[in-house]
Amino acid sequence: MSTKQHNPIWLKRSLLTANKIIKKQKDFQSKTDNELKNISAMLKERVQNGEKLNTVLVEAFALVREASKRVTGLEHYPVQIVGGIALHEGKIAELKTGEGKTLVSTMPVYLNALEGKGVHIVTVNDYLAGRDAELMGKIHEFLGLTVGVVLSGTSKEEKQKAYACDITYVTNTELGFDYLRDNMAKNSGEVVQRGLHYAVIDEVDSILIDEARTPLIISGEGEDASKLYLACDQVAKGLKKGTISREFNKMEAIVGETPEETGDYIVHEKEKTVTLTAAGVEKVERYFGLQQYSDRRNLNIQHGMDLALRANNIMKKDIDYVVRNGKVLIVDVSTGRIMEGRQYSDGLHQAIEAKEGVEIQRETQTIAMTTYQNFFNKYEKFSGMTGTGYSEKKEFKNTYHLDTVVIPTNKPVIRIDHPDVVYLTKEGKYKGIIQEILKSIRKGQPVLVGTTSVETSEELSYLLKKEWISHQLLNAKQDAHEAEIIAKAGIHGTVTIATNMAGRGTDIILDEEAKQAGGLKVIGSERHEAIRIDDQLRGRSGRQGDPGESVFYLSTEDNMLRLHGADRIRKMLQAGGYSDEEPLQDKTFAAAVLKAQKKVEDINFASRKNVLEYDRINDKQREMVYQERRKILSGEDVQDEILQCIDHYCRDLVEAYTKKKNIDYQRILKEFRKTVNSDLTIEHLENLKKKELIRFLRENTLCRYRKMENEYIREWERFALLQSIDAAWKEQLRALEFLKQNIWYLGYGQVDVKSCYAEEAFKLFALMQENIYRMTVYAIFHYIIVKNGEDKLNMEKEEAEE
Amino acid sequence: MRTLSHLLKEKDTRMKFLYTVLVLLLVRFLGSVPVYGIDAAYLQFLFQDSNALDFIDLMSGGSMAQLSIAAFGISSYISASILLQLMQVLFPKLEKMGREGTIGRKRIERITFTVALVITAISGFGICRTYGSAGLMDHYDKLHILLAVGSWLLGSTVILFLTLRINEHGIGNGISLLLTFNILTRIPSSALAYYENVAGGKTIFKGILAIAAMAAFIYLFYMIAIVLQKGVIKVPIRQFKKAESILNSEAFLPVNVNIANVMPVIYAATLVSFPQTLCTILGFHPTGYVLKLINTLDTSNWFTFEKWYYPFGLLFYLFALFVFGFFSSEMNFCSEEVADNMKKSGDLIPGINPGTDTVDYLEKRRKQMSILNVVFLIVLTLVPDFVCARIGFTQFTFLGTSLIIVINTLYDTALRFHAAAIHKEKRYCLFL
Repeated sequence: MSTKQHNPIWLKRSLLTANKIIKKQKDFQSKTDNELKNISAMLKERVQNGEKLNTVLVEAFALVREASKRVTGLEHYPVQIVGGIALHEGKIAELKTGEGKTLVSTMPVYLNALEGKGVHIVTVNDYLAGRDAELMGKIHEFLGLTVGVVLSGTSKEEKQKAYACDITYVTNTELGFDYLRDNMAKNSGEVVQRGLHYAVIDEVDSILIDEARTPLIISGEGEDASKLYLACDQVAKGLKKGTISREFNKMEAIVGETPEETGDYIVHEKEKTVTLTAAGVEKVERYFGLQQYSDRRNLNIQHGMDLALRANNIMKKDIDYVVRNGKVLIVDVSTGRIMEGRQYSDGLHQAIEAKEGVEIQRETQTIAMTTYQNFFNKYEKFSGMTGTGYSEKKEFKNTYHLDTVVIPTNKPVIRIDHPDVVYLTKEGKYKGIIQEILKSIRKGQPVLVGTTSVETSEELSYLLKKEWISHQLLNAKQDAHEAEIIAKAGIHGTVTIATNMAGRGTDIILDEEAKQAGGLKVIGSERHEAIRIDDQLRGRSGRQGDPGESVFYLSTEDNMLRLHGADRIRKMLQAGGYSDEEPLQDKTFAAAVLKAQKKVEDINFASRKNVLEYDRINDKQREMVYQERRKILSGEDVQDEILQCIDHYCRDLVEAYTKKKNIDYQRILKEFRKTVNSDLTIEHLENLKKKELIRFLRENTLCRYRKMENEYIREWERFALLQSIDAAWKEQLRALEFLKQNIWYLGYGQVDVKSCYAEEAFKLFALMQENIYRMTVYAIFHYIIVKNGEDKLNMEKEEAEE
Repeated sequence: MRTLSHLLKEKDTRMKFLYTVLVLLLVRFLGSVPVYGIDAAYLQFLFQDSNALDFIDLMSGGSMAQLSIAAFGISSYISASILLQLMQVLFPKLEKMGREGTIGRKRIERITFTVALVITAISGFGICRTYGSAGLMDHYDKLHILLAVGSWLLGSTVILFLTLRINEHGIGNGISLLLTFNILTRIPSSALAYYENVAGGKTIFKGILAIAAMAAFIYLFYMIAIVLQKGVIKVPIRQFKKAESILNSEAFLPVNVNIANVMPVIYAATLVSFPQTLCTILGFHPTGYVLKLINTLDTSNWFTFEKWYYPFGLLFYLFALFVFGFFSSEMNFCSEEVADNMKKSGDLIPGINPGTDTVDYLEKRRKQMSILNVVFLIVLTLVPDFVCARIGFTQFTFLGTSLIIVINTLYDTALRFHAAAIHKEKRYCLFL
């Protein structure tokens, strides 16, 4: 790691403040515990009476340092105080592994919690949330603040309590989903969060960057179409994989040469798509007995075949997902962990279930959705910490408006990072890794082998078994003893093979013999999609000034190198006369590997940017809907809104059936009678002019509405309105998704696609508004039945689940 | 106007808007900064009888005629992008780069930028060499040539750097905005010239009549240009990725009438003026057949019918237009590429199988549109030329290609402005 200072002026100023804090702490050392508590309470009062946080910063930080010393025995280093200042200022702090990130966060968290509006500390998994709340919560509780934890299994009541605390430890997924669920609540008692005030995000690059490509989706149940999935899967398995003579190329296309295709389908690995060839189309037509594959009526089969082909050729077992207890579970590539309760959308999950021969679940339908980018930007202030963030400085700035600062390490990092070792083949690479492991354990050095997938970790484990090398294995399939494995990993001579599960957030503590033998040796068996994640793996070694080594073993057959520029490396290796088992450590190859990695990072960046830019437009709509919902939930009553619904509905109805002053009275009457449950006849309407007609319909509706007056109606109206908004919003999400998938075609008309998307999206919004008005009016006259004083509410309630 | 006020309400869009306006004004200002040692008056004299230069001058916002430090910025960037587009067809590696995400596109942009600077240097140097001793430069020596070329390079760099950043930090496409801005700001002086030329010295009544005639004439062309801009065939697209919502209207692939834009005219005009340009650069004074050829290809001669062979120049030009029309439409809309992308994203045109069938179908549409596009171009560019030639007036530069560029940019900018502010509109409020 470079020791270059990236932000000297800021750092100098912060160190001065840190010194002031340490000096101030001396005042507190003589105080009793109770006196400290009183000081804390007074501080809280001052802040809530309007004193600025910055003016009490020194006092508050000093108080936390003293409390921490008394409660946990840990005293913040000056650099940790600097980190705390950065977090308070809404910056991203890059702190190296083992520098006690959790302790750093206590200072700004305490300070901002004084405002009493709630502070969220966001972690990547339940284990970390629980651990940090346990360890650091004591400090805050000592100072008289309340601390809560929200984990994935927490009940609604407990969540409400936890979110009501001054400080809440929570995982990113739970936080996001709670936000979405709160905005689906049908009464204010179901809401668990109380506003988004200040958040400190642990492992911020993992959450804001690696996870940013996958939106948070809450979905309800859809149709059961398992037969179709099975049939398509069968056909897909019977088709033959073909090759394409070459990639698409514009010049040749203009000259009129088309690439030759063989087999039934072509797999495009880079684009992650599969396409049928002419022969394949014919086979599918024959199997399903279709006249023409591309016909509109064969939509389901087209969709099913696409999914089945992708499930069988793109999605890989033990890499993208694992099968456990008859269920397909997604593995998060960047953390190596199973994403509990998550599913691939749009039927892909079902297609994989068909492929793996497990029970096929019902299809799902999106009912609420947001992205991390837009969610976190709703906070009044948020900041983050990570071991690897500076390389993404630009993205943090552009997307989240956050500055990134590098906090110097307390002790210098003395880990040796060796240059990459590149092999021609995978076998050669594995042999090399085993040699390297043997070399190290003979010295008594502990070894951590990092892999990118479950599959690789198992392959390596198998090879080690063959060599009679004892080792422990940690991956998404074998995660029961995680804490135990990590605890053992630092003992001298231990070999640990792990996926990214052992990458981020794990602290491997060395024993004395291990330190003598040169510290932990990290061997990476493949490059990750981002240099940051590689650095995270390296960072397991060399914590707090410990010795250590890291090296990456690569081969030209590795996925990333194969798809993005291995040709050059392979040619160079072959030209140099290297055999399979001969490695080379050379600067030119390192450069080529780096280039391939940069390419992947660039592709991922573009994909995140794309997600963000479209979701920004969606977010404008989501905000409007959610704001309205919150108002309805918390408001006195919704009579005003209902009146507006009636007003809009009548106008929209007449507008819809008026063409150039020709009013279609019959249709209007039919619709009106259906929606308002009215018994008007055509004689009432005829001969009325447009404006008169609107007024007449409105009066009629209002008249009927007023007759329904009773003591419960206010609550039911609210329910009916919320229900209509939710149903319409669900439909809108679907419409927006469809729009997004097609909008790029407009680019061929040489227009700005994103602007077109905004225009079209708001046209859809107008339609959604009409739907809300109509559905609300319909609900009022159909579901709220007034009968003999005993009232029944007859609305289907949707079960929402993730 | 309301869109504009919505736009200014939000900090983000306000900054973008201000950036765009500031850059346009700054570049405009740079256009009047003279280069040390260059005698602008001499150049104006040169410009008087050249059509080709006129168009370039218009694009550069008049800075060409003064040979200010901004003189070559825009025009050399346009030449560079055309050059690069052609290179991409010839060198597949370059084309592949262009399609490889943001890094590739940025590299292409950087290459274009560099090529534009090289063109600036060459043209600057060329002008100094050709006309320097003839009176363009106050002191014709190495030092002053170097100084002049250096100033132009600096000017181009600043202009292009700022303008290209409009794409990211402003609203709209920087180069087209600047072009449009330059063209629009020329209207008053052009109109004045027309007034003096046609109406001047006549009775008031005739003057008004001439102006009214011209206004009607411009309005007619304005309408035609809008039809060209908006004309489109919508090829329906069926997607089997996701069932659409009942709210969605049908997805479609647009095949524009304006499929090749103004490129055919630019290519064809460059081609017919090539012999003359070559002679000028080489300092060669044509006689005999060569002179006849040059005269035949000179736009201003086509409608004078002075020589029997002049119309052949026109015919050749028309032929070139159609050839280039087909060529550039393929650059913008490559049926193979569209079909390939459709296949990969799992979309179909209903009733047409993916693969060759789709390509053939799209190819047919593209060819239809190319022909229509060229017909429009002929009407829009040659008819004004014809009229101007008849009334003996050459200064009317904002019809023809300029008009198409302006309409195109205005549409684009309006769309972007509107889209950026749309969520502020009051009708998108659930309840008041």
